[in-house]
Amino acid sequence: MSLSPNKALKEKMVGVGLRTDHYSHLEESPKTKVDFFEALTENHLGSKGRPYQILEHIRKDYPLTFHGVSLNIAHHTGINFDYLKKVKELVTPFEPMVISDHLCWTGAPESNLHNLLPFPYNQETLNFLCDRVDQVQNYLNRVFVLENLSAYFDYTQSNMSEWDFLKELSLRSGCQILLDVNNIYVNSVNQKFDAKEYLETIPDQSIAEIHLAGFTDMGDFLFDTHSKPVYPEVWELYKLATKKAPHAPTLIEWDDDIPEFNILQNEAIKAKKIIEEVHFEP
Amino acid sequence: MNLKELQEQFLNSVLCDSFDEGIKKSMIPGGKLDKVSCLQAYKNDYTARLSSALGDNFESIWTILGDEDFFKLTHHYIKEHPSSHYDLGEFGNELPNFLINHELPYLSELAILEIEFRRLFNSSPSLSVDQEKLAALGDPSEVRFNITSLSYLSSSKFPLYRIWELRGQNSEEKFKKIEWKPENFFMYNSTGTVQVLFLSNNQKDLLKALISGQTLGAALEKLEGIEEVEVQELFTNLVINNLIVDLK
Repeated sequence: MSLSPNKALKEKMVGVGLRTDHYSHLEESPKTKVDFFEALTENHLGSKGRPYQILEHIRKDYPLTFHGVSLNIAHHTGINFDYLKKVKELVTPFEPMVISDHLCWTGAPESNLHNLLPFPYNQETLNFLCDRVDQVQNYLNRVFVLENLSAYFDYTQSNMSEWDFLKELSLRSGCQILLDVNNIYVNSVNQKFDAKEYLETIPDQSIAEIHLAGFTDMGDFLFDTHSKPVYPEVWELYKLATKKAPHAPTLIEWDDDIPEFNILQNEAIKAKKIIEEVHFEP
Repeated sequence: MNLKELQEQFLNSVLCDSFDEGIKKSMIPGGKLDKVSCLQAYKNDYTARLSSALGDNFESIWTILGDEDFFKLTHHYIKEHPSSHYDLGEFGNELPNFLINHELPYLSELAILEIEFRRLFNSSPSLSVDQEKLAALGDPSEVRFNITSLSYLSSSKFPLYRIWELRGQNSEEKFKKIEWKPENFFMYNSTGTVQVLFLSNNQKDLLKALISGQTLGAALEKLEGIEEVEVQELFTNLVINNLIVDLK
């Protein structure tokens, strides 16, 4: 099932991440003001128990997206097809709008760092990643979506900007982009670049989904913690992002210090209001 | 320097005690971070993330030990056992062995219970044997009762389940009230939720024999002291909770 741009615009789709903290609430009060839920792929890969039953329960009323953290697409050893097979088996029955993971590496097969790690942006890694994306898309037989990550350093081996790399990767490989606006803001402050230039460079039609989240100011750097409400500066950037990609559904992420569902839902309502302001008000 | 070298150097910097000089030369840190503090941030995040996973996966052990001792334990464990699985829910499967010589002698068994609970929690219940087939059963002594594999039979000299039940609670007072005596229980998932049956020693031995594939007759022969009421109670529970999946 693919999401047509007009449908998304008409329905102003804004979703939230599905988290175990909210399972009981959603079982008792399945009617919410959000339009879809995003499941963390790894939370459901090894489970046919309650987490899976909740997913089936939610899918009766809402579309789903699946968002992974373990594809490890940028690691030099290559794609783990056992993992990808499990992902395919998991997501297929749910007909998700989007299947995504991160444009990063996460560790070696024998020692997984469980972190989203950057790599140098240059022609060598671009060629390598185009090949890997091709393998993933061929295996899944659908367009795959990759998220820009938050990173706390760059490499001297980079000779392209992150945004030019993403643009080239999407144009050459046909993958789409999950544009995490919070990550763009965090990186723009930490790595001192213009976030608007980043947004303007990404091809509109390459954007499949938008993520919003909160960061933590650590003093020395901004840390992408997903533990706070979305910051005003990120909402401002979001206005530009949703104007640029009206077809892309928006997702509020909150992974740490997770609040009550209603607080999360209020962030989604805020995003909906911005979509209305940007697209429907003179 | 190619991608493979960079990734190996970064990985070693996070996993080992010192930071690789090669990766330091290749880094341009963000914010006000210098190269060492940037690598340290990733190293700290790695330890915090895996410690947090152990806290989620072994909540009862965290409750028993308290923050300080638990995180001291997790730091040692993480150093000895890097994660090799994509799912953090699988992290810590070596913890029972790691705890085998711990001064609290029940911690290793408690870690096994946590792993078994997660296995049952994440499984879809299997179908039980047809009730008509059970009702039509004649002499059961020659029958092998196939008990659901979505179960865990525990027999300990410690009250493991009573301890495990207190996980995540401010439970010092409740912990003091636990009666320290041996405990047998059978944990299972037959309806989508994990449940537990407490068993007498005889019931535990009978169930263990049935699970090992013995016929009811053979199992009872070795249990001279078992009373009929114990057998009836065990079988009533097995039937009403749909724990018999086949008869042979």
